[in-house]
Amino acid sequence: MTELAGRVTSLDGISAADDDAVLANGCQHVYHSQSSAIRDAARLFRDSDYHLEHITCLDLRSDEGGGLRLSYQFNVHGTSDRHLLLVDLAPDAHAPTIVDIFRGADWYEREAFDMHGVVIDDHPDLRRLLMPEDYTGHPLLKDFADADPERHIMAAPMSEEDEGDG
Amino acid sequence: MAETMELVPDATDPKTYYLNMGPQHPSTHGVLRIRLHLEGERILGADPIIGYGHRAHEKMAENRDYLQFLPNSSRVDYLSGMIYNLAYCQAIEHAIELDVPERAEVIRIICGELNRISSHLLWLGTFVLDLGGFTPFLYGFDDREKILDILDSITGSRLTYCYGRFGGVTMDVDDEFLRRTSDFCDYFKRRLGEFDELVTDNVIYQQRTKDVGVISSDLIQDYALSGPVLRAAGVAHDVRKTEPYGGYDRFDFDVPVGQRGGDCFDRHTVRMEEMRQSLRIIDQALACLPDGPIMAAKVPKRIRPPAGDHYFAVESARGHFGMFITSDGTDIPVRHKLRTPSFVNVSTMPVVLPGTMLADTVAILGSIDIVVPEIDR
Repeated sequence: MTELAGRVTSLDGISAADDDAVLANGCQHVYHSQSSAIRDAARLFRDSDYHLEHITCLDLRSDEGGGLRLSYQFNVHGTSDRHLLLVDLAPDAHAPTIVDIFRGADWYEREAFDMHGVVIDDHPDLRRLLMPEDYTGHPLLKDFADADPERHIMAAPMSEEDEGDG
Repeated sequence: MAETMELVPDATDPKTYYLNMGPQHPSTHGVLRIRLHLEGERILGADPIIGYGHRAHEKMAENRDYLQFLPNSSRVDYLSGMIYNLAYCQAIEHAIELDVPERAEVIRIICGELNRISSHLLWLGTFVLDLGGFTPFLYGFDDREKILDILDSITGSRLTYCYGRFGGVTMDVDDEFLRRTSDFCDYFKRRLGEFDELVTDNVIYQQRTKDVGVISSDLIQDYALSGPVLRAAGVAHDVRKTEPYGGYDRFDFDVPVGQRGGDCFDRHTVRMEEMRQSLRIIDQALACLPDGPIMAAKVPKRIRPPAGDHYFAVESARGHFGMFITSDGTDIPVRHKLRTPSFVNVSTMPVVLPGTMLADTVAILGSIDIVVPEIDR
């Protein structure tokens, strides 16, 4: 375990994931984290010259439980050293923002809100990123069903009379 | 939400107004809309509004097995589709620990680098076109056409290739392909000198790009910039060097960096130099192309990566393209996140654009080389 990894695991609410139980192919370090610890971890990576590669939201809900999960991935320039932070969210799907620590988190957090309905607390401008602003629902949820599929179909198809003088 | 649609001037300052650039503006190269807050022609604020080209690739990936997603991969970025297509194959091979024969690896590198040159050529042509120079566009497209013909001869398609397979490539290359590629390299080395005379040394071009749109080193860590935008800012970082994949560690090439602090001209010189380095790689690859099979002997019929997260990154023509695939051990991924470089580069615009002039917006947007479908996925 590197020195940085030791400092990450010493934070309250973060523990190193057991290598046998969690596979993270391509990442050197994996942690489980409480959502309350994200900001501390982000600050630590920021101070260590790491950058935020992406935030990915996953819908892991099933009959056996599970919920939404945010995966934060940090890396450094030079020799790759990926740290993956797995944050299992409570059923209300709230997570703190890290926009003030990494400005690049802005769009990733908006994407998590748009696609999975994760509410990012204290985000300065939490609105949809990819879907239209009047859209309802969160398309990347596993149980997503389009509330109004008719709306996305274009106006009436051409009738035979329309084709006449073309 | 209603506030963002307001086009009337800010009530507190009657001299300012909002202007929508796009989604059908020719300089946004696709359906990108940027909501600009202006005072005269000076930009006070910029808010990129994306999603017009959203095709739900990530949702599609969750509804089909790994092989069925293969044709999607090159559609993510239609200008360097080969790189994205091969990247997806490599990501899956990485996840299921499948080795690729050496010949297939070298063929992939040749095709990938050809595609990188064609992507940079299109960038060069359209970028100069945005700034008002029509001629280089025609020259750029002429040369790009030669690459498309070469790739067409082995893949059967011109833009959205589906040439990679898990464990190798679809079709072997023949002597004709190798001869044409080698001829193109010789020709294009001379041609790059002409591009330098026509574009790089052009005084008007230099005045439009030098000290314009500085994306400086202090944004690098904040946004995790990558690709030519990062290298123009002075950081010699290239995924092909830091995490050599697909046999790139066997080849000699340099990572060019900008000398002027990350302005539009830096991004131009970095890309020009990258094309030269791609030619170097192709030359070496042609010289050492080994004989042998182009597909791995034992490819599993059903692709089932072990349960867990798999991350794999490549250097696309635009920067760090990563795939974060979460598997539960079945045929269908739980999540397939596409971490695309243009997405990151465009997200810096609210910071980079304010303070510049409206005419420079075109130069700045062009210089970061956006591909809108790749932002929206």
